[in-house]
Amino acid sequence: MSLFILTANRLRDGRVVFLTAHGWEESLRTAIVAATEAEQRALEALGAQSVAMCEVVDPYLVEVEVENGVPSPLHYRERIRASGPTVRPDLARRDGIPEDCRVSL
Amino acid sequence: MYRYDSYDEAFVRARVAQFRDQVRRRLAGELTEEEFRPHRLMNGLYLQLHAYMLRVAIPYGTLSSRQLRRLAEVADRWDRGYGHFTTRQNIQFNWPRLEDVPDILEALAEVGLHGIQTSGNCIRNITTDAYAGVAADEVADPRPFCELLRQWSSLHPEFSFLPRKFKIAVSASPHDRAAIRAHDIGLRLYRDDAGELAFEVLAGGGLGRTPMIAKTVREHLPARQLLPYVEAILRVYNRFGRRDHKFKSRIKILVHEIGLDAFRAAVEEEYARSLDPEDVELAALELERIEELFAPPPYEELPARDPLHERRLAEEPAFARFARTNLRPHRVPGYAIVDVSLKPVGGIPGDVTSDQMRRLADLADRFSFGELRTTHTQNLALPHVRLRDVHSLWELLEEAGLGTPNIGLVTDIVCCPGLDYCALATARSIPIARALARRFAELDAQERIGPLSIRMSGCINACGQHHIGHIGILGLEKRGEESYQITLGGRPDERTAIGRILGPGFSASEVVDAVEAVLRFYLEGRNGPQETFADFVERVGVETFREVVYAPVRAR
Amino acid sequence: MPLFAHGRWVEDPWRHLADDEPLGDVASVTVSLNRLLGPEGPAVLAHPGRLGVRLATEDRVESLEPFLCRLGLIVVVFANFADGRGFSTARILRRRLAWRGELRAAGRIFVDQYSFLRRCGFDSFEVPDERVASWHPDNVAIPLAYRTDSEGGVASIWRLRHNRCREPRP
Repeated sequence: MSLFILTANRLRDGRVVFLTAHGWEESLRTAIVAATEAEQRALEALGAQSVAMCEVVDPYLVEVEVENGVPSPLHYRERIRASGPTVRPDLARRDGIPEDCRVSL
Repeated sequence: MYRYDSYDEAFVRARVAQFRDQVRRRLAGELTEEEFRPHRLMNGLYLQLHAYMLRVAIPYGTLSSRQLRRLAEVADRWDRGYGHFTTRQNIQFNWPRLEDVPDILEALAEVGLHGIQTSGNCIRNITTDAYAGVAADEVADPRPFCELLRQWSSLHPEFSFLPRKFKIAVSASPHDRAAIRAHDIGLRLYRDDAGELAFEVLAGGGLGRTPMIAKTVREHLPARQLLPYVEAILRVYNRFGRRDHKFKSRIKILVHEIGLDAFRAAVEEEYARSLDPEDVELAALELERIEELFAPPPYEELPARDPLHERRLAEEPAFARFARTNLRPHRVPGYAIVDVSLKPVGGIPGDVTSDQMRRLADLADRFSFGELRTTHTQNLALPHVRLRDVHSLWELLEEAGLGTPNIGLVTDIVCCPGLDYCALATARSIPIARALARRFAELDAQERIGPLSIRMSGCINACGQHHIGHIGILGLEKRGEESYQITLGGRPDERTAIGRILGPGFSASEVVDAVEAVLRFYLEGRNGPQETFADFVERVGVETFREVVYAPVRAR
Repeated sequence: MPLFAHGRWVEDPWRHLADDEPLGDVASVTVSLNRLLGPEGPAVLAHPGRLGVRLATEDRVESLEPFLCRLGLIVVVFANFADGRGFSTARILRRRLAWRGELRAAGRIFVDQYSFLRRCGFDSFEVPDERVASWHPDNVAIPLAYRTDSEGGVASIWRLRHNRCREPRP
């Protein structure tokens, strides 16, 4: 069964955020992981609510794997999106992004 | 250069006030994202991979030191201390907050800058030769026409909701340094047999998914008829351009589908029927006013050669190298155009820190009448430098990390932001450009390879203009991995050509080797150093490269 | 549909007929371009009251030319806000075909387009119900434009600069 988390951009500053039990946060460490279809729909419904409340823009589900309780996106685009520009490590997000989330070349 | 008068100022400030209200309404929930998107796009604000991105127009690539200092302030105060120069002579900031953008735009308006129409389905920033007004081979300064087009197209009531974006470029030299044939409208300024200024009008060029070279719609258009003719083209496009599919909406598809003759007939009919003599007269008056503002700076009368400069060239090989690659002939004796490379080895093509911006602004004040240019190859230029000052300038550029002597060489790579920043990208481009620059960093080897334009895009939209690079690289996704397709045979100059795909894509770890194999084959096979890479590819054909590239690269 | 004209909300005196609706004896009716150009055309033109036409986004405005003197209203319908063909339609009507009568924008228009619409020559607006509350054109208007279009009460910078001001068209 595929696992998913919900991501979006925060409306007022555009930052990448993930839906956690405490609301939208910049780190995906504690993002809510949906394991069933019903859970995915529930995440999407929460996303739609946040859009209506002008908190976030363009929410969508991201497929992840979970290791030691920490989700990590499967697709390289989403890994880059979660961690910041790979060419500017000084600007990359360090808060809670596991090392193997970084994409190296 | 052009200076805003009170009307220009009032216009841009009104636009900022309007956008401030739109942002307020968006944050208050009065506008949905769908309703807000066209407004933010038409003010240059995108939502990118990591954050919002603000694109600021640098009309026809002419920038004052005061404006550059303000851009540095914006980078420090509201962004992360740097900016990125684009292939359309603009600058982008990668981290602005939506709620700050009205303040940023207001700060820019104070120095005559804005983000108007740097995105959206409207007429975008008018680009031209980065050496306009100073190039030795130029017929006339094209920038007054560019400024006229800027004013005409700004918040154009009829053409703000076109089928798709619309890009216009102007060139006034036999050597096309503005890639006019890769634009929706390309304008070539020349003097006709009677000695009058006239335009060759081309239309239907563009890169992206379906690259096409612009075709000549009108060989000879009296220069003063420019606006009504361009307006006729836009009206035909606005009415009959396809709107059913995003990939088919550019004017190139319209010209292609109905054919050049039918397109020309439609434009000519529209032009003849809608021509308003009063419009033409008023535009002519405005052009005269603009031309006065583009009067040349107070040059000194100097001999064509400077003995001190020449002695240093003879004595200092590093300086001589810089002069070989980064100096361009100026139309005024005793002056030169100095290119400032934004492609240091290990850097990000087109990126400049706020400190570098301030240093460049100081250097422009000291050596170039306070004026700079942005080039469509993501570099900068100081357009009016006395030959005798070039050495001092070079030393100071070196100090600021801006003295890289590689203009027009293999490491002067044009490169879009790719998947490191861009939401549309399918692969990263900056790391590849960097790896290439490291591989070919050795300066003598770069000069041995000679003139070469590598252009790289991180997706099919082709912001890095890979189709017209001598070597083009396109980043795609293949089976969940980044994959890079090489094209050869493209040309960005007056003989614009679309490159042809070499073959199957390379992985990120292979692509640098593949480029090296291409260049090795060229160096071994060329008829001496006078045969450039572009000429060599034309002579031997793209196919001959296949076996020399794939076998060794795949064997590794 | 709420109608906004000359800076205020007004009653729409026109009846906009669907293609299968009989002309009847209504004083002021609009019909589609198809209906005007189709077999029913002569009957439409013979209608005793005032006659107007509703142009769909893709309609070619040139085909109206022979009928202009018979018309009292031209409505241009915008299929969606991103489809800007209606702006060219208006421009051609006002400039090339010298239409002086009422020119109305309808369909998916929004208030931030108001200046553009006015400058292309529209003088009345059928505002979608859900956009009536936010329809405050004065808040979003930009009072200046470079070009010489004098429609829309927007001052032309080029005219101001070169002392060629003239009275804006009503």
